Amino acid sequence: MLLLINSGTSNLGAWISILNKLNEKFILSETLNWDIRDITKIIFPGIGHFDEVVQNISKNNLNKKIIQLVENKIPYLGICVGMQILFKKSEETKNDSQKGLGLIEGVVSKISDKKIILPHNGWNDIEVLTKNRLFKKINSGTDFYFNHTYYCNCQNKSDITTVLKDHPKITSSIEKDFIFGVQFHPEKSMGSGLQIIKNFIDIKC
Amino acid sequence: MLKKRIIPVLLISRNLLIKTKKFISDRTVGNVIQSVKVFNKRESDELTIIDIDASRGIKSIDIGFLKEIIAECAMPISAGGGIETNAEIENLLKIGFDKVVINNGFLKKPDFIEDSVKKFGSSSITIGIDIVKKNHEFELINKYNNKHAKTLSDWIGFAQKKNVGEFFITSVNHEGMMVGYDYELLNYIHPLVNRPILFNGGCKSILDCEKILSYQKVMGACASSIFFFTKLTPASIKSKIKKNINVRL
Repeated sequence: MLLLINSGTSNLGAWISILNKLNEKFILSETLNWDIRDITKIIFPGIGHFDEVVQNISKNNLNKKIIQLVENKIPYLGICVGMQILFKKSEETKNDSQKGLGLIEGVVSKISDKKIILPHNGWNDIEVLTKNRLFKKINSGTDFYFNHTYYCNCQNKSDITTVLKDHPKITSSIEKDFIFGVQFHPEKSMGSGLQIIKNFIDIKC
Repeated sequence: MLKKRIIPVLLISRNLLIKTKKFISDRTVGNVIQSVKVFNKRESDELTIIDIDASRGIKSIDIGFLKEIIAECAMPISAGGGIETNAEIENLLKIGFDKVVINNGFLKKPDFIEDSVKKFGSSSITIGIDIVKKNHEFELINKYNNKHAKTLSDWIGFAQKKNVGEFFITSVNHEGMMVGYDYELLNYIHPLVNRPILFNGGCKSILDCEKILSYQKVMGACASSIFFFTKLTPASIKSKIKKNINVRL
């Protein structure tokens, strides 16, 4: 079953509605006594301040359970801050004790491109760098809906699968083993976004 | 490249879709859910929904009704109307909104800007500012005795210092009048704002959308009346302005 993380600040309802339309069974992370052995996929929705999300998933050891699942090669899809949380540190953080999951090497940095007025909010097109499972049937030049101020500055460039076409420094998606992250919001990107979600659901572990 | 957006603004009162003129003279223009369905089917770039009974302080924002609306919507969508607490923001995001527009809530309690940004990040927190022209000067329609809002420029500066996200600016004098956007106001605030501007009030034509979106920081042309009283749609506008403005088709 798919585990849908409730980070406390996300647009959870948008995900519930999409998963229902796709007939995909899921369990919410706040459900009592879910068994880690029943989980076959994880989706971590976006929206929220890095520190707040770190703090919320530290409750009931949810962060440790996520790490354990990912180490067991359970496919993970993180959206926006759900992608950024894969890193240990973010420049958004006000409190150095707030640390992300540390599953991807690098740091979450503030966008410094002077041509982008922050927050970077709206539809922007991506460049697919390497063919990958999450972007099956998606071509370079496709628009997705973004809303963020910080981006994932990966240490290993091989983790990056797509970038913003006109701002190649800004990572729009990553993949490492069974860990996937997208900076944009597939749940709000209509047809192309839905394709990404279907591609993720189709990934076999 | 980041696309400029055409953003329909839907005002709701007593669960009906309404249109105002200069913030008064409510006129019912249709069914909210039906209208959201149409904008969704036509793949609008984004929608903004304002519960104006809540803005007017008659009641608090109606989460139950908004939940019914958002069930019809798979596109980016913001909600506004009398939001004054983080709990209300959390509930709106939880039912599927991506951003909130906060106006009087920030004026009444300036610390709320920082509190909301600290929890939800600046990208989801849009500040709404309603501006009138009085005695040849632009000023906020309400100030709520806020010491940081003695002048319009003070308030813009304060909100930016507190790291708010986008600016949703409405010209009250032009709102609902279909006389064209208030360029005099835009020329005044454009140099003061260093965030994306969503500009609202007065939109009358395709050319008007093109002109407003040619301002560097204006990322969204907000409009309402033209979608109810003319045959224009976000898509038909974009197809006509695509030569000069980078839009998503």
